[in-house]
Amino acid sequence: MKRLTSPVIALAAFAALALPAMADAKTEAYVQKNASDVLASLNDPTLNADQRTAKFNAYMDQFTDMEAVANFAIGKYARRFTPEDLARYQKVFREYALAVYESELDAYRGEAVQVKDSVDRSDKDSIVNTVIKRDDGKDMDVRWRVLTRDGKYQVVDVALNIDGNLIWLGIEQRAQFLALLDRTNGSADALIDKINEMKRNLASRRRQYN
Amino acid sequence: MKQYAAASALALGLAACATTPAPAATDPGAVPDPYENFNREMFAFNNEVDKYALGPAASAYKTVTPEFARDRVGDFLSNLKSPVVFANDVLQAEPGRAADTFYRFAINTTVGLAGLWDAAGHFGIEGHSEDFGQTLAVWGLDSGPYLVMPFIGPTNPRDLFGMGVDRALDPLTWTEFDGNPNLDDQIMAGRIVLGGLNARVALDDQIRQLNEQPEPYVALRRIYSSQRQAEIRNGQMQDESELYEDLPDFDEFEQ
Repeated sequence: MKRLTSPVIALAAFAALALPAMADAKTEAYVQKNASDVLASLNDPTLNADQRTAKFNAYMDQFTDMEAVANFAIGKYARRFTPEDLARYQKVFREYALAVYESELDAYRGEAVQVKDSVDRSDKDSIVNTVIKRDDGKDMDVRWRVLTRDGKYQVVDVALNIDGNLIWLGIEQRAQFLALLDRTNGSADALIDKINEMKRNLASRRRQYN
Repeated sequence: MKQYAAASALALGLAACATTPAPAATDPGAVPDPYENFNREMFAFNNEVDKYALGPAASAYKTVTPEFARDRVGDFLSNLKSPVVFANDVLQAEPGRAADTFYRFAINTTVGLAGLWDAAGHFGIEGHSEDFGQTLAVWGLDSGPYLVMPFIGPTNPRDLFGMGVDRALDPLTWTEFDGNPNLDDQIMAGRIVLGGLNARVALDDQIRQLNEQPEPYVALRRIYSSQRQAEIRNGQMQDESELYEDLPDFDEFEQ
């Protein structure tokens, strides 16, 4: 009997190790497919710039829940804003975020997203680690936080590994939005004006480079 | 050396009397900043210096020098730092990295024509930076509170003290030239000015992006602190089991 126990334990241990990976496989596949689709949409030569933006935005809307990301970015103020202010803020945030992502991800257009592995924080909250290969050899280590909400997967934050410094874009955005709101007594107008200004800066820079 | 000793003493004094509140649990990147009012004033001062002096000077420097020349200046100045990097590699008990720095210095100073070319990089020996602030961190010393100093920018008592020690570790600090007692000071000034201009040109894009952020002060505080931590770990990521532990709950404030 004693002889049998160790293979059994080994098998059990193996199964325990294998199980979370199995549970994650669907999340990993989700990121693999959707992130690649998003990057491919930026590289479609049959579309003009406006059409590409429209297609990119449509993909992003499936991929993420922009409203939830917008609320996350203002933390406790999501409950303090009036419904009108919140709706106005969510609208400009969505426009700004889509423009930022389109401009940032443009450097990786047409590249393949390779899933390395993933880590479960809970059964509804996982991090998928990916590498985006680039022609110039500067591969980018990108991590996606995926939540399962109402049975649907949604990417809620993206982290970039910059020389060992893991930067979660949503968390950094939130720290600054909260600092601005704390400083202005929670003024929705001050934040919306600032986001509009950032949108204008981004647009003028894109015109400069295109 | 006097001013470095004074800066170090000030830094240690601040470290001793600082109270550092624990960062909020919902924000892993929060940085304690008990001197925020002072720091914000210094940040604004540095911004003015950048806007009216350093920025325009760097843009003039960029106009009159081709990129090739700026690269040579960059390589030359970084080769001059090698002895200090080497000393810190040794103090951190990193023999592999110390050997890299040693060979780089030997190759770049000779084959690389007095450091003007990063020849070692072509042979696959990549460079890295080290400083005494990082060494103190490896030895277990806490950074102390976040500080913004005029001209120096974001730092903390540990790193400020480290800057003074690095200056003392630098052989060029102690070199005297026969017949020209001022030459060492002139070399030092030249290094600071050229290094500053070169760095400012290289950082141009980042500085513009930083200034467009909703709260540049907060953005820089966070990025400086997390970047420093990554440098102290020599670019290695934290252990994956801790890496995601402190992420904030996403739906905490959902309606």
